[in-house]
Amino acid sequence: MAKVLTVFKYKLKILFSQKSFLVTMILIPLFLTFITGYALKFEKYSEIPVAICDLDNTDYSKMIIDRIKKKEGFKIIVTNEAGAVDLVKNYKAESAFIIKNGFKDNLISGNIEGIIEQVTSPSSSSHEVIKEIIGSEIARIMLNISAADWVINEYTKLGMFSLYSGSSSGQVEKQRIWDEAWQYTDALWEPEPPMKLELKEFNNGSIVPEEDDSGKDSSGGSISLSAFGMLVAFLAFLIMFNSSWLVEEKENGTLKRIISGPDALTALFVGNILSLLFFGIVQIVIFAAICKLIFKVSIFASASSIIVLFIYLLSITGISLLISCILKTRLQLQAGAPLFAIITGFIGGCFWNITSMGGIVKTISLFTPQGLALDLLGRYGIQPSSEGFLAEAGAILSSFPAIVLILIAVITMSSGYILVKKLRY
Amino acid sequence: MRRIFVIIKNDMKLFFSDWKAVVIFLGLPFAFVSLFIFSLSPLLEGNKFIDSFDIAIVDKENSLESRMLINQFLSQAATEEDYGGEGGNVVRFVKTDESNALEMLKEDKVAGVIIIPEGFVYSMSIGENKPFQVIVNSSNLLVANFIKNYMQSYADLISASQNGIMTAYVFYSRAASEDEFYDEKYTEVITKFSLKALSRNEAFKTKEVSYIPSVTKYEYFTAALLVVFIMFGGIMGIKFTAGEKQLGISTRLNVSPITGAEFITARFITVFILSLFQFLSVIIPGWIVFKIYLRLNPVYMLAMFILTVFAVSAWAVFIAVIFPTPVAADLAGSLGTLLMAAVGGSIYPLTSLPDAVKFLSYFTINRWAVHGFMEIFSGNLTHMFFIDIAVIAIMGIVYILLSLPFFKLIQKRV
Repeated sequence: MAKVLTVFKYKLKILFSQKSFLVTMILIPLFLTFITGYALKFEKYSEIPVAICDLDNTDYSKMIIDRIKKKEGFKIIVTNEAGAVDLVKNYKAESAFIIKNGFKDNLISGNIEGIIEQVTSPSSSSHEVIKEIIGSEIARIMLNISAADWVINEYTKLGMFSLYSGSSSGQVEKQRIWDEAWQYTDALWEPEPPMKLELKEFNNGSIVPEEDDSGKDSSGGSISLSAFGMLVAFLAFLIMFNSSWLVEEKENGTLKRIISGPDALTALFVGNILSLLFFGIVQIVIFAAICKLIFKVSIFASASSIIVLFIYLLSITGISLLISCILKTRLQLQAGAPLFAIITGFIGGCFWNITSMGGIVKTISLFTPQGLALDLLGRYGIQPSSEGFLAEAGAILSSFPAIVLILIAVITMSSGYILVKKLRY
Repeated sequence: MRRIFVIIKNDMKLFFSDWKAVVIFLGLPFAFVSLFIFSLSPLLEGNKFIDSFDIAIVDKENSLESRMLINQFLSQAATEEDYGGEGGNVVRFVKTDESNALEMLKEDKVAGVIIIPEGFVYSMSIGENKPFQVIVNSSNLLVANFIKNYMQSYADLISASQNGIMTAYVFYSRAASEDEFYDEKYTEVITKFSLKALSRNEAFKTKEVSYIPSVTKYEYFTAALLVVFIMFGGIMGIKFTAGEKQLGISTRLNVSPITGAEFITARFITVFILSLFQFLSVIIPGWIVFKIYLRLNPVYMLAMFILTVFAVSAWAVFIAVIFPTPVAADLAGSLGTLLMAAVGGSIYPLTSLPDAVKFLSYFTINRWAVHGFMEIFSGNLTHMFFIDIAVIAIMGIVYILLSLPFFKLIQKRV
């Protein structure tokens, strides 16, 4: 035991002497968490931003904009034409609508083709529906105009304006009746339109009449999964990069002496494993603390995440040990370790939202320790559980990914130990 | 000249001596492009604001008119037959009965249910207007509001037509008579105003805009990862340099007749050759499997490639000289590549990144190189291509200039 503690202390001193490396291993995953979390956020919006530009500046165009602004679920951004297009290009608005100059005149004359330009991006899938929603407001004005036009036409046929023929007061009278018909049609929308919807909500297992949702905010998507992804990826990086002790002992020739000593190899192995585990735990704690501070994300929202991360640390430590046993030089390890960690991190899904994916990508990810860990974290680590800690721990430890990770840890550590012990000089 | 050739030959021998590493070096890039296409295409193609969802539609009336009305919905959106296809619509309608629809809503298989009541069409024709039911899941407020607005827009079309008809009736009755309106004008007015309401979409002219040139998702990720793997190729230069420092070879090289310029030239050429291998290992399978567009004048492709390798090599040299130890330089190279890839838009599309990161991307090689390759794959070069090339070239020169003082410092120490 004393030998183990000596190795443990000595190894920790070496590990923690690389302060710049430790700081880098915390800062870079944090920065990537920020990027990944932002890139992968989904449905954290409670409103869909739509840009509108009014080049017509008439009462009709203002009417359209005012009515659209009242629709729940949309954030209407009134801006200029270039600004509206930029918002769509930069994916800050789902769609932009540019009310062209002459909008009112063209509506009144019936020449409506292309009076509103809809600007959309190739990835927009809801622009047709938004067009329908805005189209219904256009239809309201169109029908007001059509009804007024129809009244004037019929009144003319019925000779209602024959008394005014040839005089300007005839035009005045026509305009008066036109306006009256227009206003009458528009007034029929108050207090409520003729065609109504019966709105109901499905809430807590039952269907109830619609409630006032105006105070509710459905936003608040977390970046927990991104934080887990980065943490898992960089833990592998950290552990593999610092597993060179075995290779160094081989290179220095001190391994021969260690093998020949009683229990020395066991103490060396256990001491180094414990130091790597401790080092990994320190990184997890610092990363979690900074995540909580900056992103207000708790890595330990569920205590289960501690179990998962610990099992993952064990498996990664075992893999790095085995790799150290196989490789011949420290240079090979330190050249290959970062690449191996990054590649398996990508395959394992550390850089995207692997829990929402299925199919072959998800299946392939489960062939990496990162993928197995993220699968467990996605299932148990995001939300606190209503079950007790022991029950949850039992569920985790009996799950397939956890069993595989534990087996990886056991097999790789044992194999590494046996391989080294079998070395003959 | 001979000395340069000797160093290059030696580096190539070292590289090809490990056949496993060579296989990974050449095979991995294309595998990664494929992986990225499958995993990250949704970021490129998917809607950032709202995911697609299903609405169950129940027709309790089941008349010809009600079916025509439902077809109006279906013609605007995707149907269940389109599920899983590339319809690109946010809404899919699923026709079913009421109990199944409510069950699907409870199980979260649909985001909403629309129920057309019995006698709906007749009630509309007499102005009674039985409302149709819209049931949404309140747990997803964004989608719930979206469905409500969408259904309200259809209800508003009906209201607009009916209000027009009502106005026609009221004003005609004043001038003539109600009976005359119903006998002579009613049918005409219904048809006219209904068609008018349905023609509202003629008012819209749609235009697509994007900061990304017109490329397929295959071409996008090929361009994005091509640059990343050219950068990894550049790191090979750091690895060779790091290895030589570690083994004391660089000290021996310093006392040999080889000059610093010859050494750097040889290293550049080595990196260029390795990057070319990696470049071809992505482009050729991409052309065969993903049909990426390569019909543009190859001079542009070559120019883009050479300048990217130049900038990457210059960056690699900069990293190699500023970091105190070979191991640190190697690590900085790997992590730096990963960071540049993330910030520069090689992993996640630039449009999905925060504004601050988009600003930082201007300082990465990736942003300009990826855009340049996409211009080539789009088959439609604009002035932006030449800006991309110029910026990459300038970046390379800046990195070399920044490296020189550090390189002289190292030589003085030795």
